[in-house]
Amino acid sequence: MIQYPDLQLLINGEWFSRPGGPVINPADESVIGTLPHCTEADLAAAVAAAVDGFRIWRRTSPAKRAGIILTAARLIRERIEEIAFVMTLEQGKPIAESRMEVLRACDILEWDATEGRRLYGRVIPSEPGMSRIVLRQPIGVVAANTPWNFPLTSPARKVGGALSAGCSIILKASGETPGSAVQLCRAFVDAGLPPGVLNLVLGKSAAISEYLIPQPAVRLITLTGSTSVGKHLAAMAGQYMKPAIMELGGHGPVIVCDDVDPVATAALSVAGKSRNAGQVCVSPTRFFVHEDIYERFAQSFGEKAALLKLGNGLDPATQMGPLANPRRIAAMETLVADAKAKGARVLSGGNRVAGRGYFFPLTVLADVPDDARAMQEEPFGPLALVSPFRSLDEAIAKANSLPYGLAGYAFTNSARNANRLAEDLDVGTLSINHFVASIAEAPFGGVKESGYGREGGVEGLECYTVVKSVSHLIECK
Amino acid sequence: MFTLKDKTLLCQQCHVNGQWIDAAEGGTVTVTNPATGEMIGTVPKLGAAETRAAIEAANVAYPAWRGKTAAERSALLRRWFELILEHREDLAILMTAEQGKPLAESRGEIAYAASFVEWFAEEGKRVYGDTIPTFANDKRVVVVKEPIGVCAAITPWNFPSAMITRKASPALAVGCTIIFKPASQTPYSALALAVLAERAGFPAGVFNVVTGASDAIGREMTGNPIVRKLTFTGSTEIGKRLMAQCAGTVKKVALELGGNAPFVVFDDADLDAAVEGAIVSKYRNTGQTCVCANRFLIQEGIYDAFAAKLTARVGHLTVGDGLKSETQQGPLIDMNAVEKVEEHIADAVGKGARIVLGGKRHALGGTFFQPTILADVTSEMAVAREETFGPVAPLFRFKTDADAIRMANDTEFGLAAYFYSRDVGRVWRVAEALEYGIVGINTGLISTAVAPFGGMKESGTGREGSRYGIDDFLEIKYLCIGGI
Repeated sequence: MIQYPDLQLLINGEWFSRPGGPVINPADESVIGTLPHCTEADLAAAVAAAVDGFRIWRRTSPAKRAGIILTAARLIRERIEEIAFVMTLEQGKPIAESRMEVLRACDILEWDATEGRRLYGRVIPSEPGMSRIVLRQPIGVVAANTPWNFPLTSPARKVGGALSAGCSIILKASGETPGSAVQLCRAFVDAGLPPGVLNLVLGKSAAISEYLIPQPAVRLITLTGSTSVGKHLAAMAGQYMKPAIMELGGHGPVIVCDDVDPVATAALSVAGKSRNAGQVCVSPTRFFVHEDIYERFAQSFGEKAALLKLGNGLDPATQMGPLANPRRIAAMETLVADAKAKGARVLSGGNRVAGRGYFFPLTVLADVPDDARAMQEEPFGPLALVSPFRSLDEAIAKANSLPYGLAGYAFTNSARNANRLAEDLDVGTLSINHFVASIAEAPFGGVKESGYGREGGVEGLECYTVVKSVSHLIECK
Repeated sequence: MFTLKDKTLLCQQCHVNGQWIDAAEGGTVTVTNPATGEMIGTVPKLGAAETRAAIEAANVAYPAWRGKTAAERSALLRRWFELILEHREDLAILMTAEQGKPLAESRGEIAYAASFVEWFAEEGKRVYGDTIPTFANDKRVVVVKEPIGVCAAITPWNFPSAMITRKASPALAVGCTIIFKPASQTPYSALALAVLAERAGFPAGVFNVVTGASDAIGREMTGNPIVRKLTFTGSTEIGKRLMAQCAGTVKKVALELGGNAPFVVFDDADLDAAVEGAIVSKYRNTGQTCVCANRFLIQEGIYDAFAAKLTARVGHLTVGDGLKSETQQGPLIDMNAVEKVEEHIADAVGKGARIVLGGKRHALGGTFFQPTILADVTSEMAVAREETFGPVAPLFRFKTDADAIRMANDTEFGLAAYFYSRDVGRVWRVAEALEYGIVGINTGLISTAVAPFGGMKESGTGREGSRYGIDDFLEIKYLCIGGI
């Protein structure tokens, strides 16, 4: 029988218990653990440990660093069942999705580890007697904040990036899903990571950020979270002139052109939208569908959404789990009521599911007017908003009309349409004819208020480095 | 004799299209242990017909192999890497038995060989194309990279494993298929790698090894139009011949050829460090590497001191059978090698050089040779121009930096060079002036999978290892997309 882990802080290679608050299983509202709340002294110790850790780690060869990270990834792969169980317990997503997330986290760690051996600098042609070299060096101690929707991949992105670049890190994982982060850290400890290189703190988010960001030793802030929290932390970081990586909210547009099969596209849309119950920053949300296929797409989307099986994620038959907390249920209800009042048609779902657990069905709304709140605010839940368009220009203008710009999607077999969408959509990632927004080897991140910086790809590691230009007049007269 | 834990790693058949084959007419080539002269076994004596069949099999295997994702190919390479390390001890014993190098060096080479597999398993996922800002608003400019096609490789006996993996890994990682012709003296290391590649799960025809008649095999590899790339490590003489043969079908060639490496020690050098560097660079593999220091250029102020320190250290090198743990220098590969070393020494002594140490065949007999140091060597002697490929350190004298640079570059070769100096100005000036593909500065060890290896001038063309090493196995395709 797999147990939910004893939740502890990891500071300087040692685990510490602290009193705190309950961790709830969103599928049945039961208490599964106690979140330790770190103290200010713990945070000070974590910063000191990370400073020491950085000193050791930056002097460790890239090949050795890669070896330790790859070992941690291998351990996580071996522990997939245990970690997936913990994730579903604390987060609610179906166990199959949890397993996928574990594998994806390993892909990310492995990519970053091997990329760390490839952080090339360059030599710039220069006048005789002068050498000009550009070095990429680790930026230093990183303070990271991760959300509850991807309890393992989000911490893996930050830890993988920081460690592969030679930085040390203080990870503040979500208080709603701390177990997965504890498992991640355990794998690194077991892989032989020197103490202090990776530290885990848990507790009250605001107090932790307010302590860590001003610390002179902390050189980089990275957050995956909401745009509102992002703006707050970015402002704090700016006050101390600290660079930041901000992976914030989105409001994924999906443009369905008239040259694709509406029924097949609707089936893909159900799978894409229901992933993690829509609680994903890249979740497809605004479906702009060409008017010629609009009705068939919408009907089919609604019919297939209604068939989706909700339930406890540990039940292998479950296709969509609960929402993370009661606040999300309330948000869905408010947005649906507002859209209905403004003329939207409910094609599936629309009401919370009675009983224990925070269940809300996949809700497809058609004819949603542009002024509905859901069309402007990120629902972060299982809401799909369908509306028609006549010309591609109109669809692109609507897609670009929000301050967000994270993931976009399009369905078309036309090369001309595809090129037009690739060039003109204001998004950080565009997926054409599929719903996978990110893989380890490609850069992931947003434009506009969806944030800055990238995770993954060649670009991801660069965010954890500083560039130093060294010019050397060879003869000192 | 020797025993292997996994006896199937000593394989006496060739690997073609997933099958283990003998020569059609049953001919064989004998493989001997250079330390004992004993026969280890035989390998098939294949000729043009079998080579053609191997090339055709590689061509049949190519579309499906190329069609796999980089990640799928990477997973197989990763498995091969793990298997090589798991069998490191057996592979090292096999190498020492057929090649002669001390077991510690063989173990080192297996780890080095594996490191190329690991590196290129990852590098294959990073074969990035480009988008280029367009030249016309209705067009888009995209550049993609594609595998070059069926490759043929001819490898030498001095690094029986590493020269296989350094060529095979990038080729396989990007989707090429490949046929190897390993040196006749050291085929078993290559065949053992083929055994492990088969276990790792590479499809039939993707990785092939043929042994036998060098000339017939070489002519088929260079003349067959299916082969799109020839990659060769060996002597400059044979490299030129192969390059000429490839011209008929305009095959791309990668050539890692001979060197005549200068090892320059300036007056301000750390002498102890220079002596240590000299020993690894000169006596490793009994002086039989293309990056071995061939000429020691020593500034006059420290000439005697360097000679004395080097002599003291080299005098303690233990010569013997590489399978014995105390051995630091093994035998030469064969009697031709011994004769060449003797010729170089006789020529130098005849023109006024002094033998400071060694100079003769070793008392152990066979192809063992004494570690040798020659002093008062001048540019008129054969050792100044030709690669000795043996354990002879000729010490030349120079006065100024300009002299050192001129002497160092006074050769048609341009593979590796080494120099020792602590002055940063001199380090940069000399590094920039040397006409060599690889420059070791205050170090005698330069080989690593992460850095580019290859020569300038008549030492060859192309680079192996590093992110540059994969380019030799790729073609660039420019897509001009109109009607946007």
